[in-house]
Amino acid sequence: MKQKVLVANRAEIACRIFQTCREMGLGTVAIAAPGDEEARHLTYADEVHRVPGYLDIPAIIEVAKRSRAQLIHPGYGFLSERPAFVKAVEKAGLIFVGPRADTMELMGGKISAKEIAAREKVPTLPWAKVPAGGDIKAAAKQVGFPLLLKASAGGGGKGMRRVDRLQDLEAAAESASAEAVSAFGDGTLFLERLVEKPRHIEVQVFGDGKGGGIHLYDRECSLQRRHQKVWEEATAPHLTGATREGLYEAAIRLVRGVKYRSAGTLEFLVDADGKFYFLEMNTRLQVEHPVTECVTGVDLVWAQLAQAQDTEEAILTDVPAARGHAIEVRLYAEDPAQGFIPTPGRIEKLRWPTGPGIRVDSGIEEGQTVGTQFDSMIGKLIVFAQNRDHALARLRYSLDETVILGSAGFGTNQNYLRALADHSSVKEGRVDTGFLEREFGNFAPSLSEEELRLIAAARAGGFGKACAPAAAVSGKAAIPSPWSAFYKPGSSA
Amino acid sequence: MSGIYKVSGKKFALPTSQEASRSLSEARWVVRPGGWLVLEFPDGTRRRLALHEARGQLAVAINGRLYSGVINEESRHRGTEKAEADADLTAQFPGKVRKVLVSAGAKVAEGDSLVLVEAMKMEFTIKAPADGKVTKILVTEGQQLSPGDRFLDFEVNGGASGG
Repeated sequence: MKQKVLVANRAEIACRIFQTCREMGLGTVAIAAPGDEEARHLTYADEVHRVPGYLDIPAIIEVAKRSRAQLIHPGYGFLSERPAFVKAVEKAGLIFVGPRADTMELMGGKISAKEIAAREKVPTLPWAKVPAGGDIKAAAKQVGFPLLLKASAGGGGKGMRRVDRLQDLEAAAESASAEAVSAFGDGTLFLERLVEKPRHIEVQVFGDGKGGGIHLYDRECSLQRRHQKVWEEATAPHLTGATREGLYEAAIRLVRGVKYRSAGTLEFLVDADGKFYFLEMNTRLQVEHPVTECVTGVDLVWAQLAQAQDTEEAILTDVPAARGHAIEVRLYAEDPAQGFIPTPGRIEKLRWPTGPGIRVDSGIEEGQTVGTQFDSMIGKLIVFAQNRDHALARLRYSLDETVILGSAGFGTNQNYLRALADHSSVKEGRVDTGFLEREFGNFAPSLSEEELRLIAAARAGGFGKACAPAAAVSGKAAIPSPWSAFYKPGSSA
Repeated sequence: MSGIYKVSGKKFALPTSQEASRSLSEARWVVRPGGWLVLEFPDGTRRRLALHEARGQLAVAINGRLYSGVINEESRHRGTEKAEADADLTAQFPGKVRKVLVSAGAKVAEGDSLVLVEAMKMEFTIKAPADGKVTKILVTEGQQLSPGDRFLDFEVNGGASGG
């Protein structure tokens, strides 16, 4: 009987993992939480089982047992970095596709990860723990200003405060700690020196769990908005050989030092002088893994599953060759011109671009209603070409050819991404983590006179409505729509 | 027919169909497989677009950009202004009322802040869709919101009421 994989996740990443499972001859088991009845990943699985939620560990284990799935792939987000989930999976006699629980605990905690980094002689930003009942001001003086107060239990900007002056420190610490308690159940903070205009550079790694491991080059993810990534590239432009080599060596030291198993990513900040500082490790597959897959030709999910199925076989022992350049953009159902409000609705027309070097990891289908219950990311568009300039051109082409039209107010950030692809700093590859908020804060739609004329003329011809005529219509004498007896021209359907 | 196409809170005036047809009088529309509309000009050049229109909402793909918004015909100005005001003053997603900034009877201008809402871990401001008057407040501070919940009743200047 063939082995089965339960993917404890949803939407585009579940679909993407299912693809490799099927290519490897593995059965696919999907879970469905309320609100996801129309979700794409349910259409493509061999089996679908209902769960109360994607964080419900007992329910997921129960589904695995019932479906006889031996392998559990957590995807990203949800339970992918929860040691308790790893332990529950192993206790049930099943195989977790990813690192061990102890490594997750060690490298997942921001403070313990920094301590490991220090041990492995990997540079970190000057930092200090906030001593319980101790002198926070002394710790801050040690770290230097400006600094960031950060929550040790989680990220995404929660429990984070910038402090420029000593006198603002205590109030900021109180506010940050309260937010951290509310978000993570743990108000512990640490202080970290703030780098001005840093680049977010990360290194993909794959470890064998026995002290061996390789890197799979770097990615740049500096284009972020409120700590949400929007645009990622492999490999990062404008890094010196010394910085790149230094990043790879540091990443490997960490992977080997903790005997890391499976895929993971080490995040760094790189300053204007090319000096890098370790930030944290993500002990899972990342959203932006496709750009690394494009430049190396390696299927990371294949590597994870092959390793999970046979722990004796050596998987990915050599650094693969890298060639070309890849860019990924994330499509969100939100409106950048109105404060990024979610714009849920029904997808009426969906056309993805196709052609050389174009990859789409989609979480949507035509006819699907996208709600607000889950993450608003609806898909990823990835392009790959022989160099960065061509990749940019390919991205512009691909966005021009992407059609996601919806009803009931549905919209996406597609125009925003397209405008980014035209921005000179983005084209030059000279951005930092504050760029989007500084330079793209006031994005607004614009329609030219010509476009408005075309739209008016198309509507006059009755196009675009559910009952549009199927024949060619000239601008002079329109052939009446067969449905014109049922509606008055000029009224909305 | 002409109309106002409101995209991301910004209004664009659409020319009348007569004006549009006149400027495109020599061109020919062709519907192509894949849902594309192609406009062919006598000199051989072409323009391509895709539309979807239903219940007052128009979505357009043109020149590689996508636009999604509310379309209002000039001739039904009053009625659709009410429909538009309705949509603006109804919760589009689950959240919580953080603060109500106006009281019943308040006269407001288009764009004035009316209610602060917290949703999806972010804060949004509900703004007056047109010049008019808040006739009734329908929510309280701290109230949990479901999609479809109305924030307030609103009377657009010129008589059309939303509510």
